[in-house]
Amino acid sequence: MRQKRILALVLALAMTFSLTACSGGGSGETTAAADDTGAAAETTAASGDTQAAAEGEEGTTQEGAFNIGVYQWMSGNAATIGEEMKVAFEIAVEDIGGTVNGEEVNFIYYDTTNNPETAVTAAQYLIGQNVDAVIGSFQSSDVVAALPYLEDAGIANVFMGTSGSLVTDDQKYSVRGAFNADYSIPQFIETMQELQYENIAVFYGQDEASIANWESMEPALEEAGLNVVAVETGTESDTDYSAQCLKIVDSNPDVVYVVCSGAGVNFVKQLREYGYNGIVMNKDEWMTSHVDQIGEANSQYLMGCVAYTTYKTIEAAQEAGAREEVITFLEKFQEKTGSLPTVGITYRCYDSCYLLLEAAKRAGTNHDSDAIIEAMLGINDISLCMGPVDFTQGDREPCHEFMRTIYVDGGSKNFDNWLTDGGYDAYKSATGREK
Amino acid sequence: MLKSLIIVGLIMGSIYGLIGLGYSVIYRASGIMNLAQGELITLSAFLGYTFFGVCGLPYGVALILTVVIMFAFGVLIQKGLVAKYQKRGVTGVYMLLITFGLSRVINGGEALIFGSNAKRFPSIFNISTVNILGAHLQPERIMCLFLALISMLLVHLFMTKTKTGIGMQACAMHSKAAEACGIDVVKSNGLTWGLASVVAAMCGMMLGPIYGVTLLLGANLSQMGFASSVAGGMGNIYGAMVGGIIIGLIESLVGGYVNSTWKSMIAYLILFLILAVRPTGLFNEQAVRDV
Amino acid sequence: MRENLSIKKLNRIILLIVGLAAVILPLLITNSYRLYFFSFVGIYIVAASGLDILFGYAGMISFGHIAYYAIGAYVTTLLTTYTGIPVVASMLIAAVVAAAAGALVALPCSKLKFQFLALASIAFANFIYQLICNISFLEPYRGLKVEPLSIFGINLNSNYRYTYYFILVCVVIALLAKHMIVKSKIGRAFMACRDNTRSADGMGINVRKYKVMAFAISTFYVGFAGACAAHLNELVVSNTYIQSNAFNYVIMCIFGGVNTIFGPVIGAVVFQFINEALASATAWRDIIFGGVVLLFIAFLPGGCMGALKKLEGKLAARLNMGKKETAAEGVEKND
Repeated sequence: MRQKRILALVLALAMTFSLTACSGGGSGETTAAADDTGAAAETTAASGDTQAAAEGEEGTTQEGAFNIGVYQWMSGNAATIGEEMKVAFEIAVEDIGGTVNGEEVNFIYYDTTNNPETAVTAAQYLIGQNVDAVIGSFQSSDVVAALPYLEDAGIANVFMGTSGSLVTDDQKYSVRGAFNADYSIPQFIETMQELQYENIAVFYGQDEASIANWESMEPALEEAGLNVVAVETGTESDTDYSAQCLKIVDSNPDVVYVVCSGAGVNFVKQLREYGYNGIVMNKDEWMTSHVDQIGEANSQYLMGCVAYTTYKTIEAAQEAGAREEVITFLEKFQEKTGSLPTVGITYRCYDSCYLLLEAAKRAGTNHDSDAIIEAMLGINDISLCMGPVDFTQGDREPCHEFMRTIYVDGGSKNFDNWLTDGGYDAYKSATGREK
Repeated sequence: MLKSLIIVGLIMGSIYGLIGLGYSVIYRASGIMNLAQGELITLSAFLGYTFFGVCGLPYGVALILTVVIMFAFGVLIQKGLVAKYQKRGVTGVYMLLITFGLSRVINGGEALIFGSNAKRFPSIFNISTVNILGAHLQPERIMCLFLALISMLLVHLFMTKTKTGIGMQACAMHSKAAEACGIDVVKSNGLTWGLASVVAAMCGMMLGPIYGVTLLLGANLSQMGFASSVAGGMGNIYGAMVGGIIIGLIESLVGGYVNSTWKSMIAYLILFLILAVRPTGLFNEQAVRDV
Repeated sequence: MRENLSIKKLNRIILLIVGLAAVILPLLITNSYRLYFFSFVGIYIVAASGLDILFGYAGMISFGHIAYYAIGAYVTTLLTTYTGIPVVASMLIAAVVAAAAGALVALPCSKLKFQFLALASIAFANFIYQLICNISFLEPYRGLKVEPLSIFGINLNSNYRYTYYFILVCVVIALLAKHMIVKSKIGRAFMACRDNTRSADGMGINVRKYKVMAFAISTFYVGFAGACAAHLNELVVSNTYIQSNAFNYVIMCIFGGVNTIFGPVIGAVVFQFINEALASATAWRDIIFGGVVLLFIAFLPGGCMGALKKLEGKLAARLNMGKKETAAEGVEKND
């Protein structure tokens, strides 16, 4: 009987240990083991494998490497974005020379699944993995959630969100690696004044970046003395924008300004259907994927003021007057994957990664966040997809030059060239509009 | 503007109704609420895009191909998945969860095969908009109205006038008794899902040109479709359409006169109230227990 | 001296060991992410237990419990930001508000057949989400800052070890309360309503009252969990409360096993681990996740708990552990 008792006890202990091992990297093991359990990226849940850490399985920090954590929405509707991001990172690493300060670069990914709460978990995970630096999401809501933790932990991080509200003065370790969408506002206003527009209609989406942008745009329009004749709102996933389109068309605007997540594709389409064939100023870059969704005819005369945009072919990019750096990037991308990037976010990925690698190179170390940030904020002498990078203007933003583009006749063109080439007159006669 | 909004509401309503028809069909013929219906619509849109957009086949051919493939897929789901689970004794809520799991798998598959970027479903007609009383509509949207009406009629006739259709309803009511009457329950169950998939296929082929083919196409619209079928009475074929029109009109009018961001909120509130107060829907289908 | 170790005693030993492990866990782990992870597991345990009371014991399904998670989160945020109420009290009040909301929903909806109840819960969850998105001072898209979790003035978020212990205490209380409810008259009434409403009614049980009660208790749990999560993350963003996230709780119950005390515990742990494992799976994530759900329903309908119990039974039979006793005890359901 005593044997049975002991046997039972042993069985019970075994069961519990397997539970605890699943849950804590085994009792008595050190942090390293606990880290491994968190690592199980490709394998199924939890296998406290010390070997994994030493061999550097995907999803863990490697010793003697420059460990960069990445948190972003990478699945579901953003699956393609995730894939293009990985290619962009690869190109950035190659461009910097393959290694930084003598160490290989190791990326650790965490999918935020379009949920800011998961972004917090992602930040925690990466901090727990003792990463050297982090590249943050293109979604502003994720960045808002995760940034405080990264700041607290003192980890240098470059984020790709473009909402104006993301950069604040109290940040010590966070830097933007993309453009600030609000910086395009002055150029939009300039354009409106240049073309002598007076009546502006606005459509803004219900999402963080769009609301933030409208909050900056509204006072700017007022200051410029422009007349806002209609302000409508909606969400990206609305099934129908008829009410908004009716009101906007009724107000007879000179131009419509659209800022909505997903570039408000379906809204733009219905706007065209409701008979508005004038210029649409879109805060987001009008990408080839948007053209794919609503067709060439509806994409006509979409004006943007962006750091970069996507193109169908490299020739189209050259014709549109894209930056040299963009064209080089496109060529490399095409070499690797056989096609061009379909989303503008891919450029942001390349720029952010390259900036981080370059900053580490200049700092001379991969493991000192203060040094990396200091080096980053001193960069003003290189040029990336976003154009000349200049962190020294005192606003912690790298990108200060935007190009105006207009989508016309099947491709993105340089707005200034389009104006001088008589495109505006062609537009007026084609649409029968006065402005 | 009122006239335009009403027209838009009717059209949107018919879209919701057509989607709701799929839900009602499965419910009426098998008692299952199919949470994967939205994904079937998305899948159909992707298939349609492949045939019509990529391969360049004429629309009619693409439509037939998609319908046939989706029919087969529906039958496959029923035989390969639902039936197997039912054999294991999975019923009720767990069946609902199966359809949920299925929807995730289908969505994941689409992401892997087609990628997550939106795809262009070329227009079916040469005109890009039609103006009806001030409402500028894509002709495809108007097509939806006709398609919804025709489908409803056809499905209703099928279910009440043909032997197979009546057999399907018998299986839903009591499968043992139906078997005793000589009805091939297995075939009937397969047909049910096949039929619902066909409805989804038509939805997908219509909605593709309207919204573009995206991974979230079905998910966004199916919630309202589901709502329509409940509003009209779950299981009632015509009810789905009527429910859809009611929801479409409410959405449209709220969007126009109250606040465009309140549209969804009010629609869901109405749906909830309908379920709370009159769950049998307009046409008095069975929805409650006795206590 | 025949010392027949019954299954009950074995269970008690296991319980003790697991309990000890849970208590000493944070002393062994120094990785703060892991502690945060387990804190969240604790929160999900509370939420899943709540849903289990409704689903496993009272037989009602809800795919919309995320609404109460949201209500709990936002109420506590508003209370702690605009009034001086201490965090723990605020969380409890938020849970009560969530319970009231649940009762309000249950009053008309509890009589519905399960599919319609499911739909009603989905509709309510979507409504609450849309409502949050439309109230601009809740900053639904930018996120609203929340006071950190604190008790008696100590900021628990400064070290996730503290949050872990705090949540552990909450979990223990929640599980104990659930155990007491389930064993009591109320619990039996719930199960009677679940199994056959007509006979329950015939026996004189006020089915309506108990159904509403079950709803209210379950939403209290979920509301508390939501409030806790809000304070833990120090941020509430509307995207966390979309209706599709409500399926997570149901899935946790499926993974762990309904109608048991520890089912939701195991379910929450398994769910979080799977989530983490899929964190870099990008496009494969949905397929794998959906597939796992399907597999569990097919092969482990009782969840992990069901499988473990079967295993235990087999072991007991093998070891001849108090055969006669176990037979008799095996008849009455173990918890």
